[in-house]
Amino acid sequence: MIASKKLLHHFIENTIQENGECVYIKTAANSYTYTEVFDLAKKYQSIFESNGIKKNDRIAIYSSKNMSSIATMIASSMCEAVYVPISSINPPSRAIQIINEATASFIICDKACRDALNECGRGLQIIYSDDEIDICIEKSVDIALNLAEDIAFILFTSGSTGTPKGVVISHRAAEVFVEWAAEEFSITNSDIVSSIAPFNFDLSVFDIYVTAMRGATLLLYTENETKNALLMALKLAEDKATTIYGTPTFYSTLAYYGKLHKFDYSCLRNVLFAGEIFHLENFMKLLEYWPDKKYANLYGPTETNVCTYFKVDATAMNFPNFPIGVACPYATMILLDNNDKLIDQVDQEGELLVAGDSLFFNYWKDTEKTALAFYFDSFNRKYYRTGDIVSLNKDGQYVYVARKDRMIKKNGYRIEPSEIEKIVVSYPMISNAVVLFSKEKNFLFCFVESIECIDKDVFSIKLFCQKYLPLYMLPDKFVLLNSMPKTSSGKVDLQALKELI
Amino acid sequence: MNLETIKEEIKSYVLETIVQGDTVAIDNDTPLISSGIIDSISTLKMVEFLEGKYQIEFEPHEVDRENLDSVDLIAAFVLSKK
Repeated sequence: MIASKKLLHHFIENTIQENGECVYIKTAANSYTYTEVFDLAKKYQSIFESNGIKKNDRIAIYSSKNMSSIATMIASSMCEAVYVPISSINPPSRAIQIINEATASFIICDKACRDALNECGRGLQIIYSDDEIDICIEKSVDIALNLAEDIAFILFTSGSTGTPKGVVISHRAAEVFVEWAAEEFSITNSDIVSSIAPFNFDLSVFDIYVTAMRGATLLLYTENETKNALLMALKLAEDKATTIYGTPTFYSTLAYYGKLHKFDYSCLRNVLFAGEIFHLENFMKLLEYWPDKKYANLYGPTETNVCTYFKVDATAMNFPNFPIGVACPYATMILLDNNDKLIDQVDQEGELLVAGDSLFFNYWKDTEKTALAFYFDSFNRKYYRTGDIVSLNKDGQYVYVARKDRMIKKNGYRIEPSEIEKIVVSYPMISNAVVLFSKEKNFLFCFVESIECIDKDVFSIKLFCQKYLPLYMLPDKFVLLNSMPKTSSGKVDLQALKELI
Repeated sequence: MNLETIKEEIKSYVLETIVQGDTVAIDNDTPLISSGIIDSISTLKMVEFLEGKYQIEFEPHEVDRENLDSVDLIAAFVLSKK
């Protein structure tokens, strides 16, 4: 046999040699061993193959989190196809947008998501059904793709042009992170890792593959379960979770509303967080209940996955917020000023650029955006422009300062205001809309300009938005204006609007 | 305790604490969670409020749309816990 390349399903294949009978996935109702999940993946593989799947074909997965969805991801890797996870928290119209954008030739759905697509007028041709999922085929799609790297999956995030943007991730990029994280957090086959994040969120790469690589057990919590802090507090204790990777919002909610004092978390070792700033006040609240855990702040946009990390220690409390820390071994960082000049002074702020094997391949079908995202240094080394303003402190730790563009992080979700604005202005009688975020209130404000005095009941606008946007993107407050404040150059005066919030 | 009083109390809590001035018409059967009026964190805040105000305790699985999606449902649930 030729020394073959390494693909994500090999993590599971290797684990089966010694840990085949260990539990890979545990849900509220069932437990599944590595062998069971792998056998199911092989079954899906043969279904895909007998229906003519080709290398790099896209398999969209629009489903609530279940075991079979993970098995289709493994099957996708076996077929050298590319999977596109779409969380069930997306309304069907946004799922369709992503499915169409990805030109998926197969669509995996659970019953609820399939019904939702159906109601939206998107009929599907089912070729296989079981208790958890349907496999559907799109006959019309037949584009053979040749890509320079082995692509594993595409994660769609909020896009600044108003439509979701696909971040294309190679097997290699996912693997360097997985291998590092498994080692850094000493995951073994006795670990019990919780799956909190939706599958379209890069945190799930840790959950699914670090667990698989080390023969550990994955506690698969659904979207409905994870938003109920009281239930999560109970489950994480009962299920004896050893490792959790979630957003600061998830942990804060647990600490404030979960009644953590009622339960025993002595099995818990690793508490990892990413996606947004963990405010010290909220962190201290969590620390009251979980004083002796290993805490780490992991940083990195979807485009690079985790590229820096900070292990929380006693010195951390001296900062207003935790540093994002030091570079992961596979990543190289530089800071550039507005003129792309290298910043080499301590505490000077600049845009963070990241190079290394964890970088994404491109933005799906968007060469223009891809070109703008990369920077090449004089050695022709490729860096990703994160758009995050960062400085380097005297201890050699990177510290996050702000965003360079309008991107918003709310409750760990990445939101481009233009995606919301595009939907709002499509509502009758609305001529302009601007979305701003208030960090203090944790509110998305939507300023709406209406030509005529529209119904004062903004609820109808909110209901309209809900048809097209996931709940986390819905504005918390609408402000109706006769006209937007303008700057002298005629642009919307964002500063003036900020003063209104 | 009177069901109608509880409904009024819950309605004013939702309007004053959660909706905060956004003129939303809330009837006793207006969907609150499934419509996005109340997000998951506000739901937990409301549970905390209900527990304190009515001296009841929610079981984790009871924090659910089935019990909390409208003023009617919440009030009936609160009364059933008394």
